[in-house]
Amino acid sequence: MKYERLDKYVTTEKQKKFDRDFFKNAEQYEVWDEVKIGEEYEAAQKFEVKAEDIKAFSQAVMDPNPLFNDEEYAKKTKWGGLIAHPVFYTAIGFYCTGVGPSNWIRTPGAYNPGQLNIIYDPFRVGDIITLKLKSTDKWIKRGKYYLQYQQDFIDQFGKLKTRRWPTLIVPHTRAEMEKFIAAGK
Amino acid sequence: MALDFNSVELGTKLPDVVRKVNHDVIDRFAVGSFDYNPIHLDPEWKKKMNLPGGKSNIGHGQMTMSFMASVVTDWVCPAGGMVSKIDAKYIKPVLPGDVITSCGTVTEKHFHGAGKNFVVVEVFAQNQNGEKVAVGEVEAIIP
Repeated sequence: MKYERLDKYVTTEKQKKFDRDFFKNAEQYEVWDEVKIGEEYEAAQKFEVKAEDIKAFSQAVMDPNPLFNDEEYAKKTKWGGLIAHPVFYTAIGFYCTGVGPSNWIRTPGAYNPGQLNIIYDPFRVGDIITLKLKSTDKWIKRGKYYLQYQQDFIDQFGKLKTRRWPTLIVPHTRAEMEKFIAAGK
Repeated sequence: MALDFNSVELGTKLPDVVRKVNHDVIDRFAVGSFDYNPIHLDPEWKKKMNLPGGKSNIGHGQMTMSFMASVVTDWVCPAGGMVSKIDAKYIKPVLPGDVITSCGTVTEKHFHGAGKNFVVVEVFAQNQNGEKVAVGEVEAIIP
């Protein structure tokens, strides 16, 4: 497993099984030139939210809020159980995102200058989340190539839990992306 | 006194959230978020690339945004409130060794009726040199 030093932080079943090789099959990813605006995708992997997932994320962001960490405390609140830290969608997004088109967040050399996120309902234990993605805009500014897309996080009852619009700065061409891949080998 | 929407005053400054960031903190966030991008985890790879942060690996933007969101969740969650929107821009990389202080001030109140009333909190995060690393707004529904 890549980055063995991280093993000490692994606590959940999903973390144990997740492949840490960020560039695996990276040649199948899209670069800025290849992205077509308006195309829609559904991630193959679903995310069933367990208490350990919620607690692991709150620990990763060093947030001791008992609503995210303490099941007994959370049972007595209006939520009736744990809810996730509002940025928990990050974990769902990376976990569900596969290889190939729509996997822009894992494009080698991509990075994230900002985003807009709307949270309609907190993620809770028992949610089974489907992730849908759609490319919404791409533009050039000050020599950088921006891509914006929409992510919808939908539970097993069809309820939209979170909608977000991440923005990425991504490699412009396949040749540019391949430099990032080569440097990692 | 318990927090309620009617008692919130514009200009209220929320308690800061301070987080010391080092390689271990970044590693732990990578595991918690499933974001194993080498820009965060692989200093040797990062040295070869022309990416933000110079030759250092950098903290996850999502981690900084989480810190800013925690300013608001610390305030509203005990009262049964929830964060409903986060808009964030990252303006300077967070590096291992940085101490990040996240701050928030209530700037707007929106009157939509019981259970839907919400506030807007302007947030920012700065490093130990007083340089802003991220700015944004967090909306929260308050009972």
